[in-house]
Amino acid sequence: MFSGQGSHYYQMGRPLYEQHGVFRRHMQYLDELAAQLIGESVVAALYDERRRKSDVFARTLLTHPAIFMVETALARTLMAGGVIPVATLGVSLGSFAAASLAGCITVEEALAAVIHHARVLEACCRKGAMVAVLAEPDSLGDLLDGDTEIAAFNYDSHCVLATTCERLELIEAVLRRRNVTHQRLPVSFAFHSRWIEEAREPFQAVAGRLVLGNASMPVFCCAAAAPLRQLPRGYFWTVTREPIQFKKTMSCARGHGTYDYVDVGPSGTLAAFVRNCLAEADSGSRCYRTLSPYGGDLQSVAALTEAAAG
Amino acid sequence: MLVHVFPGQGSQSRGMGRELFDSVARYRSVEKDVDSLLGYSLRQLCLEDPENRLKQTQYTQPALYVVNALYHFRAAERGEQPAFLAGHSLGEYNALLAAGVFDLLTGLRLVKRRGELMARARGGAMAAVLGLREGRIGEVIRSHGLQDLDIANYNSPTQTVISGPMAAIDRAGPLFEQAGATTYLPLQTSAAFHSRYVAEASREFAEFLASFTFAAPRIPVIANVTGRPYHAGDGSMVASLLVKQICAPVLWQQSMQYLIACGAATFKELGPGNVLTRLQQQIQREAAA
Repeated sequence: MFSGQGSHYYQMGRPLYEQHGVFRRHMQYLDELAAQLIGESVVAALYDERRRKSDVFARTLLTHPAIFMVETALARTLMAGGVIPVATLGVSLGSFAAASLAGCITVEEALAAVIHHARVLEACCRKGAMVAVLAEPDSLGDLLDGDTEIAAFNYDSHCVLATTCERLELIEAVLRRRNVTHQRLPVSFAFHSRWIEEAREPFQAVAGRLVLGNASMPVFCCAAAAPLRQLPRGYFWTVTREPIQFKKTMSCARGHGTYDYVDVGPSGTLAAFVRNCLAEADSGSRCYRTLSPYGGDLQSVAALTEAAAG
Repeated sequence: MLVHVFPGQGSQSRGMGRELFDSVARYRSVEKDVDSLLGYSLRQLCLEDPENRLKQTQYTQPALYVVNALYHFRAAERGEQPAFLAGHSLGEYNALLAAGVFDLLTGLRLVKRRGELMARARGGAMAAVLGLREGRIGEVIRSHGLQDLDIANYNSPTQTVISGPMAAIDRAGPLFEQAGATTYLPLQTSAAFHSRYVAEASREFAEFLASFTFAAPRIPVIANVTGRPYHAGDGSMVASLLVKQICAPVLWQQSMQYLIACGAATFKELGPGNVLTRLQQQIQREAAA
Protein backbone atom coordinates (compact mmCIF):
# COMPACT_ATOMS: atom_id res chain seq x y z
CA MET A 1 0.00 0.00 0.00
CA PHE A 2 1.42 3.31 -1.12
CA SER A 3 0.28 6.49 0.60
CA GLY A 4 0.25 9.97 -0.86
CA GLN A 5 0.87 13.61 0.01
CA GLY A 6 0.70 14.45 3.68
CA SER A 7 2.31 11.21 4.86
CA HIS A 8 5.82 12.59 4.45
CA TYR A 9 8.29 14.24 6.83
CA TYR A 10 11.97 15.17 6.85
CA GLN A 11 14.32 12.22 7.51
CA MET A 12 11.69 9.62 6.55
CA GLY A 13 13.42 6.29 5.92
CA ARG A 14 16.79 7.59 7.10
CA PRO A 15 17.78 4.55 9.21
CA LEU A 16 17.22 2.35 6.16
CA TYR A 17 19.16 4.74 3.94
CA GLU A 18 22.10 4.59 6.32
CA GLN A 19 22.03 0.90 7.10
CA HIS A 20 20.31 -0.99 4.33
CA GLY A 21 22.23 -1.36 1.06
CA VAL A 22 19.27 -2.27 -1.14
CA PHE A 23 17.23 0.68 0.07
CA ARG A 24 20.15 3.05 -0.35
CA ARG A 25 20.98 1.84 -3.88
CA HIS A 26 17.40 2.34 -5.04
CA MET A 27 17.27 5.78 -3.44
CA GLN A 28 20.54 6.81 -5.06
CA TYR A 29 19.50 5.53 -8.46
CA LEU A 30 16.22 7.42 -8.34
CA ASP A 31 17.88 10.49 -6.90
CA GLU A 32 20.31 10.74 -9.83
CA LEU A 33 17.34 10.82 -12.16
CA ALA A 34 15.33 13.19 -9.99
CA ALA A 35 18.30 15.55 -9.76
CA GLN A 36 18.43 15.63 -13.55
CA LEU A 37 14.78 16.54 -13.70
CA ILE A 38 14.57 19.16 -10.96
CA GLY A 39 18.15 20.40 -10.73
CA GLU A 40 18.84 19.32 -7.16
CA SER A 41 19.18 16.21 -5.07
CA VAL A 42 16.00 15.06 -3.33
CA VAL A 43 18.04 12.89 -0.97
CA ALA A 44 20.16 15.90 0.09
CA ALA A 45 17.03 17.91 0.87
CA LEU A 46 15.22 15.03 2.57
CA TYR A 47 18.16 14.01 4.79
CA ASP A 48 19.45 17.54 5.40
CA GLU A 49 21.14 17.41 8.83
CA ARG A 50 19.64 20.75 9.83
CA ARG A 51 16.07 19.53 9.42
CA ARG A 52 14.08 17.85 12.14
CA LYS A 53 11.21 15.48 11.55
CA SER A 54 8.82 18.04 12.94
CA ASP A 55 9.91 20.81 10.54
CA VAL A 56 7.43 21.53 7.79
CA PHE A 57 8.55 19.84 4.56
CA ALA A 58 6.37 21.76 2.18
CA ARG A 59 7.82 22.22 -1.27
CA THR A 60 5.83 19.94 -3.57
CA LEU A 61 8.60 19.72 -6.17
CA LEU A 62 10.69 17.95 -3.50
CA THR A 63 8.06 16.18 -1.40
CA HIS A 64 6.36 14.57 -4.41
CA PRO A 65 9.49 12.72 -5.60
CA ALA A 66 10.65 12.13 -2.00
CA ILE A 67 7.46 10.22 -1.16
CA PHE A 68 7.63 8.26 -4.41
CA MET A 69 11.30 7.39 -3.91
CA VAL A 70 11.03 6.28 -0.29
CA GLU A 71 7.99 4.12 -0.96
CA THR A 72 9.48 2.57 -4.09
CA ALA A 73 12.84 1.88 -2.45
CA LEU A 74 11.09 0.36 0.55
CA ALA A 75 8.87 -1.88 -1.59
CA ARG A 76 11.95 -3.07 -3.50
CA THR A 77 13.81 -3.65 -0.25
CA LEU A 78 11.01 -5.79 1.10
CA MET A 79 10.78 -7.69 -2.19
CA ALA A 80 14.52 -8.38 -2.11
CA GLY A 81 13.88 -9.82 1.36
CA GLY A 82 11.18 -12.16 0.07
CA VAL A 83 8.09 -10.06 0.80
CA ILE A 84 6.51 -10.41 -2.64
CA PRO A 85 3.23 -8.59 -3.30
CA VAL A 86 0.28 -10.30 -5.00
CA ALA A 87 -1.58 -7.00 -5.39
CA THR A 88 -0.84 -3.31 -4.93
CA LEU A 89 -2.90 -0.44 -3.60
CA GLY A 90 -2.17 3.22 -4.28
CA VAL A 91 -3.71 6.20 -2.57
CA SER A 92 -3.54 9.45 -4.51
CA LEU A 93 0.13 10.19 -5.29
CA GLY A 94 0.94 6.64 -4.10
CA SER A 95 -0.82 5.39 -7.25
CA PHE A 96 2.27 6.22 -9.32
CA ALA A 97 4.47 3.87 -7.28
CA ALA A 98 1.72 1.24 -7.13
CA ALA A 99 1.36 1.30 -10.93
CA SER A 100 5.07 0.99 -11.50
CA LEU A 101 5.36 -1.88 -9.02
CA ALA A 102 2.66 -3.69 -11.00
CA GLY A 103 4.58 -3.08 -14.23
CA CYS A 104 2.05 -0.76 -15.92
CA ILE A 105 4.75 1.90 -16.31
CA THR A 106 8.45 1.82 -15.48
CA VAL A 107 9.80 3.27 -12.28
CA GLU A 108 11.72 5.87 -14.30
CA GLU A 109 8.66 7.17 -16.14
CA ALA A 110 6.63 7.08 -12.92
CA LEU A 111 9.21 9.31 -11.24
CA ALA A 112 9.22 11.67 -14.22
CA ALA A 113 5.41 11.82 -14.12
CA VAL A 114 5.44 12.53 -10.37
CA ILE A 115 7.85 15.41 -10.89
CA HIS A 116 5.82 16.73 -13.78
CA HIS A 117 2.72 16.60 -11.59
CA ALA A 118 4.50 18.66 -8.92
CA ARG A 119 5.70 21.16 -11.51
CA VAL A 120 2.31 21.81 -13.04
CA LEU A 121 0.71 22.15 -9.61
CA GLU A 122 3.29 24.73 -8.62
CA ALA A 123 2.92 26.55 -11.92
CA CYS A 124 -0.86 26.50 -12.38
CA CYS A 125 -2.68 26.15 -9.08
CA ARG A 126 -3.18 28.46 -6.20
CA LYS A 127 -2.12 27.13 -2.83
CA GLY A 128 -4.72 25.24 -0.82
CA ALA A 129 -5.10 23.28 2.38
CA MET A 130 -6.33 19.94 3.65
CA VAL A 131 -7.62 18.94 7.08
CA ALA A 132 -8.05 15.39 8.39
CA VAL A 133 -11.20 15.14 10.48
CA LEU A 134 -12.34 12.43 12.90
CA ALA A 135 -16.03 12.61 12.09
CA GLU A 136 -18.67 11.03 9.91
CA PRO A 137 -18.71 12.80 6.54
CA ASP A 138 -22.49 13.25 6.93
CA SER A 139 -21.96 15.35 10.02
CA LEU A 140 -19.89 17.86 8.06
CA GLY A 141 -22.53 18.74 5.47
CA ASP A 142 -22.91 22.32 6.62
CA LEU A 143 -19.18 22.95 6.07
CA LEU A 144 -19.31 21.93 2.43
CA ASP A 145 -20.10 25.23 0.83
CA GLY A 146 -18.41 26.41 -2.32
CA ASP A 147 -15.08 26.70 -0.54
CA THR A 148 -14.71 23.24 0.95
CA GLU A 149 -14.98 19.71 -0.44
CA ILE A 150 -14.51 16.21 0.90
CA ALA A 151 -11.23 14.89 -0.47
CA ALA A 152 -11.06 11.49 1.20
CA PHE A 153 -13.36 8.96 2.81
CA ASN A 154 -10.85 6.94 4.82
CA TYR A 155 -12.99 4.94 7.25
CA ASP A 156 -16.30 5.39 8.98
CA SER A 157 -15.42 8.34 11.16
CA HIS A 158 -12.36 9.64 9.33
CA CYS A 159 -12.36 11.89 6.32
CA VAL A 160 -10.28 14.68 4.81
CA LEU A 161 -11.45 18.13 3.76
CA ALA A 162 -9.91 20.16 0.96
CA THR A 163 -10.29 23.89 1.15
CA THR A 164 -8.79 27.24 0.25
CA CYS A 165 -6.13 28.92 2.37
CA GLU A 166 -8.58 31.74 3.10
CA ARG A 167 -11.25 29.37 4.41
CA LEU A 168 -8.94 27.14 6.44
CA GLU A 169 -9.04 29.08 9.68
CA LEU A 170 -12.80 29.27 9.72
CA ILE A 171 -13.08 25.52 9.15
CA GLU A 172 -10.64 24.83 11.98
CA ALA A 173 -12.46 27.22 14.28
CA VAL A 174 -15.79 25.48 13.65
CA LEU A 175 -14.27 22.05 14.24
CA ARG A 176 -12.69 23.26 17.49
CA ARG A 177 -15.97 24.68 18.70
CA ARG A 178 -17.68 21.36 18.01
CA ASN A 179 -14.91 19.46 19.77
CA VAL A 180 -14.14 17.47 16.65
CA THR A 181 -10.59 16.10 16.51
CA HIS A 182 -8.84 17.33 13.41
CA GLN A 183 -5.38 17.92 12.01
CA ARG A 184 -4.06 20.12 9.26
CA LEU A 185 -2.10 18.05 6.69
CA PRO A 186 1.38 19.23 5.66
CA VAL A 187 0.42 19.82 2.02
CA SER A 188 0.64 22.91 -0.18
CA PHE A 189 -2.34 22.22 -2.42
CA ALA A 190 -5.93 21.16 -2.01
CA PHE A 191 -5.61 17.80 -3.75
CA HIS A 192 -8.75 15.94 -4.81
CA SER A 193 -10.67 19.14 -5.27
CA ARG A 194 -11.61 21.72 -7.87
CA TRP A 195 -8.67 23.88 -6.77
CA ILE A 196 -6.17 21.80 -8.69
CA GLU A 197 -8.30 21.67 -11.85
CA GLU A 198 -6.04 24.20 -13.62
CA ALA A 199 -3.28 21.57 -13.67
CA ARG A 200 -5.34 19.02 -15.57
CA GLU A 201 -4.50 19.98 -19.14
CA PRO A 202 -0.79 20.65 -18.73
CA PHE A 203 -0.43 17.43 -16.73
CA GLN A 204 -2.31 15.37 -19.29
CA ALA A 205 -0.35 16.88 -22.17
CA VAL A 206 2.66 14.91 -20.93
CA ALA A 207 1.17 12.08 -18.87
CA GLY A 208 -1.29 11.29 -21.65
CA ARG A 209 1.65 10.03 -23.71
CA LEU A 210 2.52 7.28 -21.23
CA VAL A 211 1.97 3.83 -22.66
CA LEU A 212 0.08 1.97 -19.95
CA GLY A 213 0.92 -1.74 -19.99
CA ASN A 214 -1.15 -4.50 -18.44
CA ALA A 215 -0.70 -4.91 -14.71
CA SER A 216 1.10 -8.04 -13.58
CA MET A 217 -1.08 -8.04 -10.44
CA PRO A 218 -4.31 -6.30 -9.43
CA VAL A 219 -3.88 -2.59 -8.74
CA PHE A 220 -6.46 -1.47 -6.19
CA CYS A 221 -7.43 2.04 -7.19
CA CYS A 222 -8.82 4.34 -4.52
CA ALA A 223 -10.60 6.58 -7.04
CA ALA A 224 -12.52 3.72 -8.67
CA ALA A 225 -12.63 1.58 -5.50
CA ALA A 226 -11.84 -1.42 -7.69
CA PRO A 227 -8.97 -3.72 -8.61
CA LEU A 228 -7.65 -2.84 -12.07
CA ARG A 229 -5.66 -4.94 -14.52
CA GLN A 230 -5.52 -2.23 -17.15
CA LEU A 231 -5.24 1.40 -16.17
CA PRO A 232 -7.78 3.67 -17.90
CA ARG A 233 -6.76 6.74 -19.86
CA GLY A 234 -6.16 9.70 -17.60
CA TYR A 235 -5.59 7.39 -14.64
CA PHE A 236 -2.87 9.45 -12.97
CA TRP A 237 -4.94 12.60 -13.13
CA THR A 238 -8.08 10.89 -11.85
CA VAL A 239 -6.35 9.42 -8.79
CA THR A 240 -5.15 12.82 -7.62
CA ARG A 241 -8.30 14.76 -8.53
CA GLU A 242 -11.24 12.52 -7.58
CA PRO A 243 -11.97 11.87 -3.89
CA ILE A 244 -10.10 9.03 -2.18
CA GLN A 245 -12.55 6.20 -1.56
CA PHE A 246 -10.42 4.26 0.87
CA LYS A 247 -13.27 2.72 2.80
CA LYS A 248 -15.01 1.47 -0.35
CA THR A 249 -11.72 0.21 -1.75
CA MET A 250 -11.11 -1.77 1.41
CA SER A 251 -14.51 -3.38 1.34
CA CYS A 252 -13.84 -4.30 -2.28
CA ALA A 253 -10.43 -5.76 -1.35
CA ARG A 254 -11.99 -7.66 1.53
CA GLY A 255 -14.46 -9.22 -0.86
CA HIS A 256 -11.57 -10.14 -3.11
CA GLY A 257 -9.61 -12.19 -0.64
CA THR A 258 -7.60 -12.44 2.52
CA TYR A 259 -4.48 -10.32 2.40
CA ASP A 260 -1.53 -9.30 4.49
CA TYR A 261 -1.64 -5.54 4.04
CA VAL A 262 1.78 -3.88 4.17
CA ASP A 263 1.91 -0.10 4.39
CA VAL A 264 5.10 1.12 2.69
CA GLY A 265 4.20 4.77 3.24
CA PRO A 266 6.33 6.93 5.53
CA SER A 267 3.82 7.35 8.37
CA GLY A 268 1.91 4.11 8.70
CA THR A 269 -1.39 5.96 8.29
CA LEU A 270 -2.79 3.48 5.77
CA ALA A 271 -2.13 0.61 8.17
CA ALA A 272 -4.17 2.47 10.76
CA PHE A 273 -7.01 3.02 8.25
CA VAL A 274 -6.98 -0.65 7.30
CA ARG A 275 -7.17 -1.71 10.94
CA ASN A 276 -10.26 0.42 11.33
CA CYS A 277 -11.82 -0.91 8.15
CA LEU A 278 -11.09 -4.53 9.05
CA ALA A 279 -12.21 -4.21 12.65
CA GLU A 280 -15.87 -4.98 12.10
CA ALA A 281 -15.51 -8.20 10.08
CA ASP A 282 -12.12 -9.76 10.43
CA SER A 283 -11.54 -12.27 7.71
CA GLY A 284 -8.05 -13.41 8.66
CA SER A 285 -6.36 -10.51 6.91
CA ARG A 286 -3.46 -8.93 8.73
CA CYS A 287 -1.97 -5.50 8.54
CA TYR A 288 1.58 -4.14 9.00
CA ARG A 289 3.17 -0.74 9.03
CA THR A 290 6.86 -0.38 8.18
CA LEU A 291 8.03 3.23 8.51
CA SER A 292 7.02 5.56 11.29
CA PRO A 293 8.08 9.01 12.40
CA TYR A 294 8.48 7.47 15.85
CA GLY A 295 11.21 5.04 14.74
CA GLY A 296 11.59 1.28 14.59
CA ASP A 297 11.96 1.24 10.81
CA LEU A 298 14.80 -1.28 10.67
CA GLN A 299 13.08 -3.59 13.12
CA SER A 300 9.81 -3.46 11.17
CA VAL A 301 11.54 -4.32 7.91
CA ALA A 302 13.52 -7.12 9.56
CA ALA A 303 10.38 -8.57 11.15
CA LEU A 304 8.55 -8.59 7.82
CA THR A 305 11.38 -10.25 5.89
CA GLU A 306 11.87 -12.82 8.66
CA ALA A 307 8.17 -13.60 8.62
CA ALA A 308 8.33 -14.02 4.83
CA ALA A 309 11.33 -16.35 5.12
CA GLY A 310 9.71 -18.39 7.89
CA MET B 1 16.59 16.65 -19.68
CA LEU B 2 19.59 15.33 -21.58
CA VAL B 3 19.82 11.90 -23.23
CA HIS B 4 23.06 10.51 -24.68
CA VAL B 5 22.54 8.15 -27.62
CA PHE B 6 25.23 6.02 -29.29
CA PRO B 7 25.08 4.90 -32.92
CA GLY B 8 25.54 1.35 -34.18
CA GLN B 9 26.93 -0.37 -37.22
CA GLY B 10 26.66 1.73 -40.38
CA SER B 11 27.91 4.91 -38.72
CA GLN B 12 31.58 3.95 -39.02
CA SER B 13 33.79 5.76 -41.53
CA ARG B 14 37.51 5.99 -42.20
CA GLY B 15 39.00 8.81 -40.13
CA MET B 16 36.49 8.50 -37.31
CA GLY B 17 37.72 9.71 -33.95
CA ARG B 18 40.63 11.58 -35.49
CA GLU B 19 40.42 14.57 -33.16
CA LEU B 20 39.79 12.39 -30.09
CA PHE B 21 42.48 9.69 -29.90
CA ASP B 22 45.11 12.10 -28.61
CA SER B 23 42.97 14.57 -26.73
CA VAL B 24 41.00 12.20 -24.49
CA ALA B 25 43.23 11.61 -21.47
CA ARG B 26 41.37 8.53 -20.29
CA TYR B 27 42.08 6.77 -23.56
CA ARG B 28 45.83 7.35 -23.59
CA SER B 29 46.17 5.31 -20.41
CA VAL B 30 44.42 2.23 -21.87
CA GLU B 31 45.34 2.37 -25.55
CA LYS B 32 48.07 -0.25 -25.14
CA ASP B 33 45.64 -2.63 -23.43
CA VAL B 34 43.06 -2.08 -26.16
CA ASP B 35 45.54 -2.91 -28.89
CA SER B 36 46.91 -5.97 -27.13
CA LEU B 37 43.40 -7.27 -26.49
CA LEU B 38 42.51 -6.88 -30.17
CA GLY B 39 45.90 -7.84 -31.63
CA TYR B 40 46.11 -4.80 -33.90
CA SER B 41 46.28 -1.01 -33.68
CA LEU B 42 42.74 0.22 -33.29
CA ARG B 43 43.79 3.79 -33.99
CA GLN B 44 45.31 2.76 -37.32
CA LEU B 45 42.18 0.80 -38.22
CA CYS B 46 39.96 3.81 -37.57
CA LEU B 47 42.16 6.48 -39.12
CA GLU B 48 43.82 4.73 -42.05
CA ASP B 49 42.10 1.39 -42.52
CA PRO B 50 44.89 0.27 -44.88
CA GLU B 51 43.38 -3.17 -45.52
CA ASN B 52 39.83 -1.97 -45.97
CA ARG B 53 38.57 -3.86 -42.94
CA LEU B 54 36.42 -1.25 -41.28
CA LYS B 55 33.33 -2.53 -43.08
CA GLN B 56 33.81 -6.08 -41.84
CA THR B 57 31.61 -6.75 -38.83
CA GLN B 58 34.36 -8.28 -36.68
CA TYR B 59 36.36 -5.05 -37.12
CA THR B 60 33.48 -2.59 -37.29
CA GLN B 61 32.14 -3.47 -33.86
CA PRO B 62 35.29 -2.98 -31.73
CA ALA B 63 36.25 0.11 -33.73
CA LEU B 64 32.89 1.81 -33.38
CA TYR B 65 32.62 0.82 -29.72
CA VAL B 66 35.96 2.46 -28.93
CA VAL B 67 35.27 5.60 -30.96
CA ASN B 68 31.82 5.99 -29.39
CA ALA B 69 33.54 5.60 -26.01
CA LEU B 70 35.93 8.43 -26.91
CA TYR B 71 32.97 10.70 -27.56
CA HIS B 72 31.52 9.63 -24.21
CA PHE B 73 34.78 10.27 -22.33
CA ARG B 74 35.02 13.71 -23.85
CA ALA B 75 31.43 14.53 -22.89
CA ALA B 76 32.17 13.32 -19.34
CA GLU B 77 35.32 15.49 -19.20
CA ARG B 78 33.12 18.44 -20.08
CA GLY B 79 30.81 17.63 -17.21
CA GLU B 80 27.80 16.53 -19.26
CA GLN B 81 25.43 14.44 -17.17
CA PRO B 82 22.76 12.61 -19.10
CA ALA B 83 19.55 11.56 -17.36
CA PHE B 84 19.14 8.55 -19.68
CA LEU B 85 21.33 6.54 -22.03
CA ALA B 86 20.52 4.47 -25.10
CA GLY B 87 22.43 2.99 -28.00
CA HIS B 88 21.40 1.47 -31.29
CA SER B 89 22.39 -2.20 -31.44
CA LEU B 90 26.19 -2.15 -30.91
CA GLY B 91 25.77 1.34 -29.43
CA GLU B 92 23.90 -0.19 -26.50
CA TYR B 93 27.30 -1.42 -25.24
CA ASN B 94 28.42 2.19 -25.08
CA ALA B 95 25.31 3.12 -23.13
CA LEU B 96 26.04 0.33 -20.64
CA LEU B 97 29.66 1.44 -20.41
CA ALA B 98 28.56 5.00 -19.67
CA ALA B 99 26.19 3.67 -16.97
CA GLY B 100 29.03 1.85 -15.21
CA VAL B 101 27.70 -1.65 -15.96
CA PHE B 102 31.20 -2.66 -17.13
CA ASP B 103 34.53 -0.93 -17.85
CA LEU B 104 36.00 -0.09 -21.24
CA LEU B 105 38.11 -3.25 -21.60
CA THR B 106 35.41 -5.62 -20.39
CA GLY B 107 33.02 -4.06 -22.89
CA LEU B 108 35.65 -4.42 -25.59
CA ARG B 109 35.97 -8.15 -24.89
CA LEU B 110 32.20 -8.52 -25.22
CA VAL B 111 32.03 -6.51 -28.41
CA LYS B 112 34.99 -8.33 -29.97
CA ARG B 113 33.32 -11.67 -29.37
CA ARG B 114 29.95 -10.38 -30.53
CA GLY B 115 31.51 -9.06 -33.74
CA GLU B 116 33.27 -12.37 -34.43
CA LEU B 117 30.11 -14.39 -33.90
CA MET B 118 27.96 -12.07 -35.99
CA ALA B 119 30.59 -12.00 -38.77
CA ARG B 120 30.49 -15.78 -38.90
CA ALA B 121 26.76 -15.79 -39.68
CA ARG B 122 26.09 -16.02 -43.40
CA GLY B 123 23.41 -16.26 -46.01
CA GLY B 124 21.07 -13.49 -45.03
CA ALA B 125 20.55 -9.89 -46.02
CA MET B 126 18.93 -6.71 -44.78
CA ALA B 127 17.09 -3.80 -46.36
CA ALA B 128 15.69 -0.48 -45.22
CA VAL B 129 12.10 0.35 -46.14
CA LEU B 130 11.48 4.10 -46.22
CA GLY B 131 8.27 6.03 -46.39
CA LEU B 132 5.96 3.21 -45.32
CA ARG B 133 4.36 2.95 -41.88
CA GLU B 134 5.36 -0.09 -39.89
CA GLY B 135 1.77 -1.38 -39.81
CA ARG B 136 1.69 -1.41 -43.63
CA ILE B 137 4.99 -3.31 -43.68
CA GLY B 138 3.42 -6.10 -41.64
CA GLU B 139 0.48 -6.20 -44.06
CA VAL B 140 2.77 -6.50 -47.09
CA ILE B 141 4.69 -9.30 -45.39
CA ARG B 142 1.49 -11.21 -44.65
CA SER B 143 -0.32 -10.65 -47.91
CA HIS B 144 2.61 -11.59 -50.15
CA GLY B 145 3.83 -14.67 -48.34
CA LEU B 146 6.99 -12.95 -47.13
CA GLN B 147 6.93 -14.61 -43.71
CA ASP B 148 10.61 -15.45 -44.11
CA LEU B 149 11.29 -11.80 -43.33
CA ASP B 150 11.72 -10.42 -39.80
CA ILE B 151 11.56 -6.79 -38.80
CA ALA B 152 15.08 -5.98 -37.58
CA ASN B 153 14.88 -2.29 -36.61
CA TYR B 154 11.94 -0.05 -35.83
CA ASN B 155 13.94 3.10 -36.49
CA SER B 156 11.35 5.85 -36.99
CA PRO B 157 7.73 6.17 -38.07
CA THR B 158 8.84 5.96 -41.69
CA GLN B 159 12.04 3.94 -41.51
CA THR B 160 12.02 0.21 -40.83
CA VAL B 161 14.76 -2.31 -41.49
CA ILE B 162 13.97 -5.89 -42.43
CA SER B 163 16.12 -9.02 -42.28
CA GLY B 164 15.82 -12.35 -44.04
CA PRO B 165 17.20 -14.77 -46.60
CA MET B 166 18.77 -13.11 -49.65
CA ALA B 167 16.04 -14.38 -52.00
CA ALA B 168 13.23 -12.98 -49.87
CA ILE B 169 14.99 -9.61 -49.50
CA ASP B 170 15.34 -9.47 -53.31
CA ARG B 171 11.75 -10.43 -53.95
CA ALA B 172 10.34 -7.99 -51.38
CA GLY B 173 11.72 -4.80 -52.94
CA PRO B 174 9.19 -4.27 -55.74
CA LEU B 175 6.34 -5.39 -53.45
CA PHE B 176 7.13 -2.74 -50.85
CA GLU B 177 7.51 -0.11 -53.55
CA GLN B 178 4.12 -1.05 -55.02
CA ALA B 179 2.65 -0.69 -51.54
CA GLY B 180 3.90 2.88 -51.36
CA ALA B 181 7.45 2.77 -49.99
CA THR B 182 9.43 5.72 -51.33
CA THR B 183 12.71 3.84 -51.16
CA TYR B 184 13.79 0.24 -50.72
CA LEU B 185 17.44 0.13 -49.86
CA PRO B 186 19.36 -3.16 -49.53
CA LEU B 187 22.05 -2.72 -46.85
CA GLN B 188 25.70 -3.74 -46.99
CA THR B 189 25.69 -6.35 -44.25
CA SER B 190 27.12 -9.86 -44.19
CA ALA B 191 24.07 -11.45 -42.56
CA ALA B 192 20.46 -10.94 -41.43
CA PHE B 193 21.16 -9.33 -38.06
CA HIS B 194 18.41 -8.91 -35.44
CA SER B 195 16.42 -11.83 -36.82
CA ARG B 196 15.85 -15.54 -36.28
CA TYR B 197 18.68 -16.19 -38.78
CA VAL B 198 21.37 -15.22 -36.29
CA ALA B 199 19.99 -17.33 -33.44
CA GLU B 200 23.12 -19.49 -33.52
CA ALA B 201 25.37 -16.47 -32.88
CA SER B 202 23.06 -15.45 -30.08
CA ARG B 203 23.29 -18.90 -28.48
CA GLU B 204 27.09 -18.96 -28.63
CA PHE B 205 27.21 -15.45 -27.21
CA ALA B 206 25.14 -16.65 -24.24
CA GLU B 207 27.82 -19.23 -23.45
CA PHE B 208 30.51 -16.58 -23.66
CA LEU B 209 28.60 -14.20 -21.37
CA ALA B 210 28.05 -16.85 -18.72
CA SER B 211 31.41 -16.08 -17.09
CA PHE B 212 30.77 -12.33 -16.72
CA THR B 213 29.03 -10.49 -13.92
CA PHE B 214 27.63 -7.01 -14.40
CA ALA B 215 27.04 -4.06 -12.11
CA ALA B 216 23.65 -2.37 -11.83
CA PRO B 217 23.37 0.66 -14.14
CA ARG B 218 23.99 3.96 -12.34
CA ILE B 219 22.03 5.84 -14.99
CA PRO B 220 18.95 4.33 -16.67
CA VAL B 221 19.82 2.59 -19.96
CA ILE B 222 17.03 1.84 -22.42
CA ALA B 223 17.29 -1.73 -23.76
CA ASN B 224 16.78 -2.27 -27.50
CA VAL B 225 14.89 -5.48 -26.81
CA THR B 226 12.22 -3.98 -24.55
CA GLY B 227 12.29 -0.25 -25.29
CA ARG B 228 12.34 0.19 -21.50
CA PRO B 229 15.16 0.65 -18.96
CA TYR B 230 17.35 -2.17 -17.74
CA HIS B 231 16.49 -3.16 -14.16
CA ALA B 232 17.53 -0.45 -11.77
CA GLY B 233 18.52 -2.50 -8.77
CA ASP B 234 20.90 -5.10 -10.15
CA GLY B 235 22.88 -6.20 -13.19
CA SER B 236 21.46 -9.71 -13.37
CA MET B 237 19.27 -8.95 -16.39
CA VAL B 238 22.11 -7.52 -18.47
CA ALA B 239 23.43 -10.77 -19.95
CA SER B 240 20.05 -12.12 -21.04
CA LEU B 241 19.07 -8.85 -22.74
CA LEU B 242 22.40 -8.67 -24.58
CA VAL B 243 21.94 -12.23 -25.79
CA LYS B 244 18.40 -11.55 -26.99
CA GLN B 245 19.44 -8.30 -28.61
CA ILE B 246 21.38 -10.13 -31.35
CA CYS B 247 18.31 -11.89 -32.76
CA ALA B 248 15.51 -9.55 -31.63
CA PRO B 249 14.36 -6.36 -33.34
CA VAL B 250 15.82 -3.04 -32.19
CA LEU B 251 12.88 -1.07 -30.75
CA TRP B 252 14.52 2.29 -31.39
CA GLN B 253 11.44 4.32 -32.18
CA GLN B 254 9.65 2.88 -29.14
CA SER B 255 12.68 3.66 -26.97
CA MET B 256 12.77 7.29 -28.09
CA GLN B 257 9.01 7.66 -27.62
CA TYR B 258 9.39 6.27 -24.12
CA LEU B 259 12.07 8.85 -23.35
CA ILE B 260 9.94 11.67 -24.72
CA ALA B 261 7.12 10.49 -22.44
CA CYS B 262 9.59 10.60 -19.54
CA GLY B 263 10.23 14.26 -20.31
CA ALA B 264 13.43 13.98 -22.35
CA ALA B 265 13.88 17.02 -24.55
CA THR B 266 17.55 17.07 -25.60
CA PHE B 267 19.12 14.14 -27.42
CA LYS B 268 22.83 14.19 -28.08
CA GLU B 269 24.41 11.64 -30.40
CA LEU B 270 27.83 10.54 -29.18
CA GLY B 271 29.70 8.90 -32.05
CA PRO B 272 30.61 9.40 -35.68
CA GLY B 273 27.93 10.59 -38.10
CA ASN B 274 24.40 11.77 -37.41
CA VAL B 275 22.16 8.79 -38.19
CA LEU B 276 20.41 8.85 -34.82
CA THR B 277 20.00 12.61 -34.84
CA ARG B 278 18.10 12.40 -38.11
CA LEU B 279 15.92 9.55 -36.83
CA GLN B 280 15.23 11.62 -33.74
CA GLN B 281 14.00 14.52 -35.83
CA GLN B 282 11.51 12.23 -37.57
CA ILE B 283 10.33 10.72 -34.27
CA GLN B 284 9.94 14.10 -32.57
CA ARG B 285 8.06 15.56 -35.51
CA GLU B 286 5.65 12.66 -35.14
CA ALA B 287 5.36 13.12 -31.36
CA ALA B 288 4.56 16.81 -31.80
CA ALA B 289 1.95 16.16 -34.49
